[in-house]
Amino acid sequence: MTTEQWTRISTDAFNVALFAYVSAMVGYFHHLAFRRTPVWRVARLVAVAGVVAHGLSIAARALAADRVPWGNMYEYSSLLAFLVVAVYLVYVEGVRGLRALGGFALAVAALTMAVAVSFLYVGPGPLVPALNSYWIKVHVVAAIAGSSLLSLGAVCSGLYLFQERRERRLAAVGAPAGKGRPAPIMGGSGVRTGPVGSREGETGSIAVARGGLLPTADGLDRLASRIIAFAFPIWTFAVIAGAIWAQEAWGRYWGWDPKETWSFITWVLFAGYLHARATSGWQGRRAAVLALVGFASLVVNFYAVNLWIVGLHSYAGVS
Amino acid sequence: GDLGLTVPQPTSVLDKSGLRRWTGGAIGAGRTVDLATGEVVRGDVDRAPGITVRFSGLRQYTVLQVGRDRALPLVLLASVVLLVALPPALYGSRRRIFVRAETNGEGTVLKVGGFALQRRETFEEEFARLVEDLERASQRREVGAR
Repeated sequence: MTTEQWTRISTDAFNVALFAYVSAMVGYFHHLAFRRTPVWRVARLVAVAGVVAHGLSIAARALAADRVPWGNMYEYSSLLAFLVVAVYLVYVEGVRGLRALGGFALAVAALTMAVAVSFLYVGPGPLVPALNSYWIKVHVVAAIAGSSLLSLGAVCSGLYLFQERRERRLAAVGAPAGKGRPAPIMGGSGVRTGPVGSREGETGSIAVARGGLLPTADGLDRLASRIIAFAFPIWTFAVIAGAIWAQEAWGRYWGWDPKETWSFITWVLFAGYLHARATSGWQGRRAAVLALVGFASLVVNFYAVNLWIVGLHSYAGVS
Repeated sequence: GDLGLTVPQPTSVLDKSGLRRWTGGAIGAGRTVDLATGEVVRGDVDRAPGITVRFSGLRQYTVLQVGRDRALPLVLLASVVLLVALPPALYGSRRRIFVRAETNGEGTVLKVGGFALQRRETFEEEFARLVEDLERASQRREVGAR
């Protein structure tokens, strides 16, 4: 097939995926509000179909451009959204058994894709000469993987802030269970006593709060920290690989270029998050706010640094 | 002089402020153009009227900046150490547990204590499990002794 045909397939599949994500997002939110199991099944099916279409779109893009499909901001956004949804479906919903986060994860993915297709779209073409190196396979893949996981962690932290407020309000008016605090329910397997969401052990799924599908605040806090702890070494590796590439391409491994500086700021913020958790027992609200600040710097590093700040990384491919 | 290599600037962008677009077409190497008429001057160049601009030739050059950083292997080693040390730093926890056996006439009393320097919540669960295990193990012993 020709480049035009592959481009066409890639764009069509991208639109199908975006449409599927938005539909599935509505389904997940409906399920979260009204708890109808059939709605969740359909939403999940649509989300899986969206992921398949999205994968096809990325593969077709690679064939159309005849190179790796992460050479500019549009392609980077697309792959990032793909990973957010895939990790959500496989890990959060598959392994941890949480369906309540689906709408939010899909919203992040759909928003990223909508911004990409509206403002960042460029046709498939050869790489900017500066990017034409095998390091693009190492550095950029690690950066995308790290960013998508940190974004999912931020979804958990954001929801934590919401859930924690709700639990405090419930505790203030007296919980329906009559024990002062709502008793957590473990994925429908039975009522557990004790403080909210604690003592869930290493193997069990995350406790789900009474009166909703959302995990308890405590469960969200832990899920966020687990995802961020997993993403952090990947992000560290991305920064190191970037430094090695910089040494090779520009003759210095670190030059305080805006991209380098912001990736370092992001690194320090998440390092602080993990360190504060491990050593001085930071949890809950303070930790969640810090994680969200880290996520904000990640967003600045991607959008603001690429589009508005002139630096060596200014090859977004958007004019 | 300053080659401007220390200032980050994209190579694909030209600073056009102060430049005016020439519409007279391309000037080949070795040619002279009259700026007033925009025509190529033939023959004796010095006799051409008005201001002329001459493209005397194309000389290609490269700007090279040479540098050497002796600390490079050290930095690489440090980043490798950082990466290798991350997993134990993220998932490990230094903790200490004390178990004391005291006899008080009737039997032995086990006193258990402990603390963790990192990840205290996880340690609390671990500690509770340890105490449960100890209780269970001592009960089994009791049954066996009878």
